[in-house]
Amino acid sequence: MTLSTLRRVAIGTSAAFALAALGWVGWIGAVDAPARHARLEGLRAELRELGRLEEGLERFAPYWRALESTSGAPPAPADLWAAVAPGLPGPEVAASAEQPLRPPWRVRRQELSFAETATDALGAFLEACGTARPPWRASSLRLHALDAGATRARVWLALEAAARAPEGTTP
Amino acid sequence: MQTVPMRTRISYGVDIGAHGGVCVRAVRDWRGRVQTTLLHRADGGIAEAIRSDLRPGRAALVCAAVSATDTAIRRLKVPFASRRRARKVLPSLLDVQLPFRLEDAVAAFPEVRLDGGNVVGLGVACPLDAAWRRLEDLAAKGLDPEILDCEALAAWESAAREGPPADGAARIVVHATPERWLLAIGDARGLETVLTLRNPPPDDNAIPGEGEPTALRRLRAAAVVARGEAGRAVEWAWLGRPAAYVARWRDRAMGEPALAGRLVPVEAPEAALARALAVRALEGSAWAANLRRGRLAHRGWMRCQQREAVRAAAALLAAAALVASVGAVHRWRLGREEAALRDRLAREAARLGGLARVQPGFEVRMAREAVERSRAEWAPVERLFQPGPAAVLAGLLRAATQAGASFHTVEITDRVVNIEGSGPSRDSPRALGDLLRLLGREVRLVTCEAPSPEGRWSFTLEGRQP
Repeated sequence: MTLSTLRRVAIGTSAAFALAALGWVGWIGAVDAPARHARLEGLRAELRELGRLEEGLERFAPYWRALESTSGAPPAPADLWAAVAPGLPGPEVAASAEQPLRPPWRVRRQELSFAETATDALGAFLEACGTARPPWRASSLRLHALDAGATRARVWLALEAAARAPEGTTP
Repeated sequence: MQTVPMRTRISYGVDIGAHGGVCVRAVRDWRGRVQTTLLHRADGGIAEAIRSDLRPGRAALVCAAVSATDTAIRRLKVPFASRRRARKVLPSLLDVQLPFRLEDAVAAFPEVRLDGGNVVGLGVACPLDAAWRRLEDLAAKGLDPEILDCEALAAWESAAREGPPADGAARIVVHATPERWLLAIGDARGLETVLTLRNPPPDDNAIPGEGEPTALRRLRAAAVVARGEAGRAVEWAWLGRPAAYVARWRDRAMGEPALAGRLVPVEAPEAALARALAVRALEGSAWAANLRRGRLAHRGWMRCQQREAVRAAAALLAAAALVASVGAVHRWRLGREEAALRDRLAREAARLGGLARVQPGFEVRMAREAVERSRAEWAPVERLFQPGPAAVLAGLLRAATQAGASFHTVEITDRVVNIEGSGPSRDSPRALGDLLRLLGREVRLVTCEAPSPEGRWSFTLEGRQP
């Protein structure tokens, strides 16, 4: 191999490698990097979307905190009635199926029927239900007055409250 | 023009023959100026003088010349406008003008320039056996020059350094030694042709000597060639050695009416050729005319060239590796950032959606579906904390008491309020309707056209959540 050939081969090979390296870097700069940057931007946008979804769930947080501060077991309506209207006949109570909330919470529902009761006692009972911890909420109420001044009435009442499921039960 | 491959600032020009020798050292300073010094003037001992002059560890070029009697110099003209294309045909053009075969010679083209629409070149060729012989002579004296320059070119340049030929004038540079005479003829455009005298007059202080008629005849012939048909003025430059021999023959020739012309003063004519060789070696022009090429190439120079090639290739590879590494690191960092983001996205989606496993690429979709399920499932908890029918009933009872109205039946859910009752006047239930409107219900109130026998007005009130 002559000297000039040797130089040509050495420089040529190196130049080929250099060209390949430059081509590679050029490809990275022109094609690969923009595509990667676009993917990165897409991932960041997805993370922001997750943040927005989380904000949507944040509005429930105060309720969960409020529930966590309670015993998790709402008092029995019959007991509340007995407390606010001692001596008066109690309601007929029928429990319906529980609806799952975020574990371990569920919505407990009960239907109360009074054949005849004093409307004043009913007001006190509903107030006691609202201030219980966790509170009972009257979701539906039917009242039929039994006298002209509506001091006595036949009442049907649907109550619901959040209750913590006992440990070991499936939500 | 070839660049000087060795990064040296020192060169030695050696003009050596059977009748003595001269060595000149040229040094290029940091400003690029070349300074020359006469190092040695004797037949032998040049190699030793160079070795003792050169400090250990310093590199230097040695430049000698091949005799003009052994070289052929031809001016070539190619009707091409491209020097690159012209270079391809110059060897063929030179070959047909040589008295020997180009394959048996070593050739160089130290000058290739554009002249109008043509390319003008200067071809130099020396038979291989003559070049070998010259190298062997030099080797016998302990010299192994990196550059074997052309004597005629160096002689012409040594005179040109004293000042270029006047416009329209021809110049004859005579390099005279008792061995041979060299007559380089040209003008302001450069060297045109070379005449030699193989058997010059001896250095015996005799004028005229035995060779005198031949020498004068050759000088006259050169003058005729130089003047040409235009009868140009001739400038004479005399150099050679020994100095007394040159001075004697210069004075003799200049006394001839046929050789009249301006005499170009040459500083230290004895060392002029060696000086030109040394300077040409440093400035690079000697490399273009270097006849040590191909099989005659200097081993050290070849090694140097190889080293330079390897160094250049290594530098190129290193630069390529650096560039590639920067690219690779950038790519790796982007890849790592992407992986970290994907990992974080999967973790966030799993946490938010309460998912055990998230399929890559579907993180947001799976999390959104899970969140929507959760929101639908959790929605009742909001309702549990809202005021219910009890509050509505309390408000209605207060309003009814104030209006003197009484209820017969009341039905309240989150969406609907239905009341049947009676009041002391037709307008008494209006207050109840206003209350329901304040609670955001659409109200429909129906009152009887006439009161009951007890004087009470029955009504039906409906409030519906829009």
